[in-house]
Amino acid sequence: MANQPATDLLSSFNTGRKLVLIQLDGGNDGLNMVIPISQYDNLANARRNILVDQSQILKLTDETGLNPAMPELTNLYKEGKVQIIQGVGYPNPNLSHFRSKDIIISASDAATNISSGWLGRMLGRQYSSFPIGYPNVNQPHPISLSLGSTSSATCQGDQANFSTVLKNLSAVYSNSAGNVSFPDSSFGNELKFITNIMEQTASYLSVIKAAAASAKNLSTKYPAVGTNALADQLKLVANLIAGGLQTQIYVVSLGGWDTHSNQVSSDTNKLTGAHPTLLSKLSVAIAAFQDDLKLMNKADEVMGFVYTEFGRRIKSNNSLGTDHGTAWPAIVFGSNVNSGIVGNNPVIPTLVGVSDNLAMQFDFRSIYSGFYKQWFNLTDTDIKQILGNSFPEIQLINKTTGTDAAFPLPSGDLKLYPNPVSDSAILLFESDGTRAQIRIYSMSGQMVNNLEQMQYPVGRQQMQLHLGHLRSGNYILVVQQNTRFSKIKFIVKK
Amino acid sequence: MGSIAKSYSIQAITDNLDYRRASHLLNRCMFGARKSEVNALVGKSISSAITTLMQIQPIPNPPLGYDSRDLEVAVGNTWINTPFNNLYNGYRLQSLRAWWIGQMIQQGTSLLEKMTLFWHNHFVTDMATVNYATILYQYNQLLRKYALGNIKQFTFEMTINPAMLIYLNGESSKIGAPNENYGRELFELFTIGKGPLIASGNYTNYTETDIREAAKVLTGWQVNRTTNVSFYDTNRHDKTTKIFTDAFSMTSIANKEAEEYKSLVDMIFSKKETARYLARKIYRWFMYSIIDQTVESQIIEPLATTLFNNNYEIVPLLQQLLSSEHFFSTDYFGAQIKNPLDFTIGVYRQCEIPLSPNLLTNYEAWSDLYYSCTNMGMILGDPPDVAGWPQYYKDPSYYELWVNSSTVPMRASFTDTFSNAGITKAGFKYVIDPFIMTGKVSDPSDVNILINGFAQILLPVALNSSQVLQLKEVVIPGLPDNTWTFEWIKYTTNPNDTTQKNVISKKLQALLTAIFRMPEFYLN
Repeated sequence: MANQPATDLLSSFNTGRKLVLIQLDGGNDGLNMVIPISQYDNLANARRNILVDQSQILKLTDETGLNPAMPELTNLYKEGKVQIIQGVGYPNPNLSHFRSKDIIISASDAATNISSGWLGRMLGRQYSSFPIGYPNVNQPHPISLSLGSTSSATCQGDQANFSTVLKNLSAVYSNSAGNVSFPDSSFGNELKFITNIMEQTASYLSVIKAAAASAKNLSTKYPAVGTNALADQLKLVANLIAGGLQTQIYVVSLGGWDTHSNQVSSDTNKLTGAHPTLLSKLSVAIAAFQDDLKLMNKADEVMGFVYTEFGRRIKSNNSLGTDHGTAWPAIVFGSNVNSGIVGNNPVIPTLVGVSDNLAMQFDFRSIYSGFYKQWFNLTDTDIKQILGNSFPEIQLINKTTGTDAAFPLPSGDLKLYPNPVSDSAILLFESDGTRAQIRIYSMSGQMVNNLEQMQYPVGRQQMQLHLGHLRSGNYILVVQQNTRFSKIKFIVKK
Repeated sequence: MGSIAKSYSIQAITDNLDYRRASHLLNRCMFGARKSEVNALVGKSISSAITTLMQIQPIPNPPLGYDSRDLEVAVGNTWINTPFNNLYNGYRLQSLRAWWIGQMIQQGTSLLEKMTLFWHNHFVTDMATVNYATILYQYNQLLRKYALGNIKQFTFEMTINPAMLIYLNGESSKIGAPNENYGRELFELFTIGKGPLIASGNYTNYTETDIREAAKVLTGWQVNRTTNVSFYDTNRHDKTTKIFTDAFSMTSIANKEAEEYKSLVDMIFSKKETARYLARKIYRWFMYSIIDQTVESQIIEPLATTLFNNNYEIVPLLQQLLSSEHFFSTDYFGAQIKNPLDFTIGVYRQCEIPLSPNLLTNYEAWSDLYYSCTNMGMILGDPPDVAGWPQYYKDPSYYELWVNSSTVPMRASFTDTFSNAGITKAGFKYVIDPFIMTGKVSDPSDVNILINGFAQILLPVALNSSQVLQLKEVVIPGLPDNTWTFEWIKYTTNPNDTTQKNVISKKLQALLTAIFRMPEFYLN
């Protein structure tokens, strides 16, 4: 393995916090997901043939509720783990799938072409030399993981895409080229050979497999495999997080949201059909995932974000569907979320024209700013450089329960006290049973101490560290074992 | 049109070529076939197609110096007549490599380039040993001269070729100290090949004694490194009568001075086993690596007979193999793993990457390609040893030796580069233009036709439905097919809208990137 540049190592970014992106492909009809009860009459005038009865809406507040297909998400909201942001969009909205998605993913203005992704630019600042020197001893895990056919454009950097692709979920659990079958011919033999080599070569596949094998999903709320593709993907993500994968960005997706027609079964049965089915999948998947994280004690480390390329038209069409629209409701979820509803119900006019669209309340880049600042510890300067401008940040994280932004601690992982320290400190960490390397680095990247190289039994370990010889200043302590790589910043104050 | 799954018949196919067969034929006979080249053969008979492939090609212009650090050769001039200078020889060698790659990229519908490389892998010399650029250029010219010619005549000339005399020490072989190197490889690798070891030093087809006698025949030859020619020195020649063994019916060769080596070659080629050995090598080059008993008796034997009966003219053998039902058995379509030159030049040619109008700029790009192949395990001009690239002889893996956990990322990196940012030389960008590709598809507005159309050009087999779905996820993730149509037509209606063009271009590039990373793209 190669040597990771010291500057990369020191980024305060790599705190163990994880972000799961759930991309809804096709343009989600937000008005049918987050339903403005206070606007019900006007909404019914505009889209009676697809709108559910008011009595069936699952209330979040008196004014706003969720589609009846989403009881699981409603419960999660009541547990304080869901934030809904109304009216997300951008100036000069583009109603084309490709272009609007590009805008959302690249965080560009509507008229600007940027080929890198909003997370790719952030990752590029933290992992400057990628892919050269990766994977390495300090960063053996994928920086980002995309489940699906291609690496997510959200993670596209200037030089490279930071995301590893996992196309075949079953490859993680199997020892062969998945359940691909090969023709019985000379061609088939050679194809099988190459497929196997490609699998072995996928540089992160072995660490992904190791993480998957180290833990099991604990929630019983996942639906049967194969019935809900989003749940299947999130189940794997939870497994990997529990298994100690250090990857911080996970991108999963669910398609089929482009409901131009038959988004409900009929104009008398709006409870079933294409859109309610998708909403149900989304609701079930998020709830199972969150339940699993809680049971695994990993909930503190993970936030989720659900987005789409655009919302849909206020007025439904004659095909029981809706056409492309503009603003949409975003969902942010997790145990540290600043729960509640941000923004107001959209205002639905009494008479809605066929080309009327929802007004934007929040620029989507305000959400990104929230993640950058509150979850990933970027500075305002960093954020302005990445986004090209400043956007008012939405408070996504609950300030009182969320971990300290300055010195974040992944929960249950490393603890050092007292901090600041003048002489000796106690270090607590969860050992995986293997040899532990404990090193201290200065802020300029130099290793100033290589403390321990012993094997520790599995479980909580405690040791006293003598740090009196260090000069006053900021340092980073790194504990590394086979499946663990944790760091903590500390201050020496004499 | 008929389709044969697996036949061991050497009989020619009778149907005219459909697209699939024409594509299989050209991609095996060339370094990647353009769609227009394949289309030109559709509907033709196989014999007509082969005639096209055998057509004499114009002699290429000699390699040009393109590195200004060669102070004796002005950039844009050839160096082939410039005397050797150790200071600048390295630049001339690189020019030779780049020039050779350029010949392969720019090839017309012809077998010439594939056969030139075949012969380089057969009559191996390497640049590291021979070193002299002009001598190596002349060696290359010899490969081309006989690429589709008479193998026995070829062997005559190769025996006294300066590059070969240097590489296999023929030039230092003299009476009293004959060097067995060429003599040994002549039997073992270049002509008859070893048979079973039936006694100490006896390989059935020849023995160690035959090698020693052959070495004596070959004494006397030298290379003049100033005039770049080989010459015969009678004072260095062993003039005794050489007596060969039972394997050659106790043939004796008396002194014939400078003509004597021809008698040696005649003797070896008089054995049909020589024809079988050569037939097997050609088979592995064009067909597949595994030669079992059935292939040996039903394919190799008739091919060897054809070669032998035609006095070692190679064309009838090639005609017979490349027309056969066996060659067109679909079981074998895509069974060859592309070597690095197939792989990299294939990308350039199948995707019709535009070359610069400035020839010297192209030399730089071709030189890059040489290094890409080097990284993938194939150093053009420098096979690992006199046996050539092991992928063509090492049982049981053969071609599979091209693919390992080091070379896979190299190949991925190459295709990622050319499907996205490309490389720039002297301000000219070498990159796939995705709109050139869409121009080859019947209806690019239909996402299924688009995906299958690209696959038809790039892959040896058709996509199955699950592969089409996966590739659709790359182009239109979670969206209905008509999304692509809408976006494509938006572009074609206003092709000057750069934003929309970028949007479409990105999708096409992602599609190409995904196809290139499929294992099927490694196969020919």
